[in-house]
Amino acid sequence: MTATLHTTTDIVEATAAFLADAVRPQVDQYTRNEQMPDDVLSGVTKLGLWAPFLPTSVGGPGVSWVTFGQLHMAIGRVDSSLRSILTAHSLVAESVRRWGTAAQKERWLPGLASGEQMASFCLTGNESGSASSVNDTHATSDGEGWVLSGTKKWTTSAQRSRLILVFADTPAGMTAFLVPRDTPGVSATPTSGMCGARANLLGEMHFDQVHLGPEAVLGPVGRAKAYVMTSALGVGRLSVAAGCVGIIEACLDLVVSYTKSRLVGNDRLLDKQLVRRKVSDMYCARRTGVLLVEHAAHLRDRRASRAIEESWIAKYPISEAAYTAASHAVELLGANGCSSDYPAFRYLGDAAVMRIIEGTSHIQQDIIADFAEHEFGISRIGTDDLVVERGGR
Amino acid sequence: MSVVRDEVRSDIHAWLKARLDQTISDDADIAQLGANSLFAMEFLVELENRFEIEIPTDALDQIDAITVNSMTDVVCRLHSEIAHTAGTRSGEL
Repeated sequence: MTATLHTTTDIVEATAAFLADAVRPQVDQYTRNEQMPDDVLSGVTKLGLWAPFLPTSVGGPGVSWVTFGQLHMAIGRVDSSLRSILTAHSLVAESVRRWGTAAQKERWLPGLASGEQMASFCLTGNESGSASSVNDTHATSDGEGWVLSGTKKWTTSAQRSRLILVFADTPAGMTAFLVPRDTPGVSATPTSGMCGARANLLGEMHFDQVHLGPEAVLGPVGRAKAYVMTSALGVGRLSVAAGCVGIIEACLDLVVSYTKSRLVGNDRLLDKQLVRRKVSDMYCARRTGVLLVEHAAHLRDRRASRAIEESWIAKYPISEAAYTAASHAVELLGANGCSSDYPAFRYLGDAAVMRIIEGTSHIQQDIIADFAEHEFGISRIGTDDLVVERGGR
Repeated sequence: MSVVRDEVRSDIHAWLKARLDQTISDDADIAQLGANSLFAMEFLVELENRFEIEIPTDALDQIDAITVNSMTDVVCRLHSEIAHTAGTRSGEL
C-alpha cells in the first residue's frame, strides 16, 4: 500500500484512475493473448488492492466490505480476469485472517496484503466439479505432519501464485492446507483456451507426495467444508457478484454509446423500442445488482449471520443478469458484436464463466430453494389455509 | 464483560428457536440442522456477533460436535479470557 492513500475515497479514486489509464488500454490485447501483464499486477500492489480488507496492522488498507464491493465492481467493469485473480487471492487472505493461528497470521498476512504471496484457492478436483468433494486429493498424517497428493483443476493464478490453499480429504474429513508453491512436489500446468477470464493465469495444480508440517493446516481439522470453505466462498460470491455488476456496466457503456451513434435510416438505433427495452432491462439489472452487493457487503461489515446467505442471493441473479446483458450487447452490435474489434464478445465469455464459478447457477438455485423452503414452508400455516374457496359448498 | 452460563445457553436456545422454528436439544449436532450445510457457519457467526467474540480454530478442534452445550462452554471460556485480559489491561490505565 502506498503511503499517500489515506482514505477510502483516495483508494477508490486512485483505482478508477489506474483502471482507466493502465488497464483499459491494453485489456483486450492481453485477454486475447491469455497473459496478465506485470505492470497491471504491480499497479494492484501499489494501490493495496490484493486484499484491501486486511487491517493496517499487517499492511493492508483496512477498507470495509462495502468498499471491497465497490472496488470489485470497478475492476470487473474493466477486466474480469484481474477481478478473478483478486477474488481467489481474497478468499485465501480472508481464510487466513479468519481461521489462522497467531503464527499463521504473522507468517502469511503481510505477504497476502502486499501481494508478494499471490494466492490460489484449490477446491475443485479432477472429477468432482460442483460437488466440491475432495476425493481426488488426499492428505494423510505421517506422524508429525501430513503428506498431500492429488490434482486440482481450474485454479485461478496457478501459473504465478506463491501460496496455495488446498482442500483435501483426510481420515477426519475435509481439511484445508496452506501450501507454499516452492514446497517439493508442487507443480502447475497452465490451462489455456478458456472462453472467459482468459488472462487469470488459470492452471491445474499437482501435488505429488507433498510433505507438510502441522502448521500447514488452516482451520479445524476435518471440518473445512462447513467452516473454511463456506466462509471463504461467502467472500468469493460477494466478489463475483460485484464483478458481474461491473460486466453489466461495461455492457451499458458499450451498448449505449454504440446505439446512440448508429443510425437506422434516419433514426438512432437507441430510439428503437425493442432496443430501448433491452437497455432499460440492463440499466435496472445494474441498479438491482449494486443494491444486492451493497446489502450483502453491509451485512458482512456488521458481522451479521445472514451475510453468507445473502452472498448467494446476490451472486445468482447478478451473474445471470450479466450473461443476459452481455448477450444483448453482442446482439445489439450485430456483426461488430461478434468481432474482436469490440469487447462485447469478451464480456459474454466472461459472463459465461461467472455463472459457473463460486457455485454454478444450478447449485445456487438448489441452495436458494432451501432458503425459501425453510423460510416459507414452515408449519405456521398448513396447506389447507391456502385454499381460498373449497368446491362443492 | 462476563457472561452467565445459563443466560448464554438460553440466549442460544432462543435464537435457534426463532431461526429454525423448533426447539433444539442441548446435544444436537448443529451442523446437521438448518436448511443446508451453510447453517453451521451461520450459527458460528451469530454466536460471534451476539457475544462479541471470535471463535478461533483451536476452540473448534477441542470439541467433538457443535452443540448448544459445547458452544455454551466455548462462549463462556472465551469471555473469561477476555475478562482476564481486560483486567490486566485496566491496571495499566
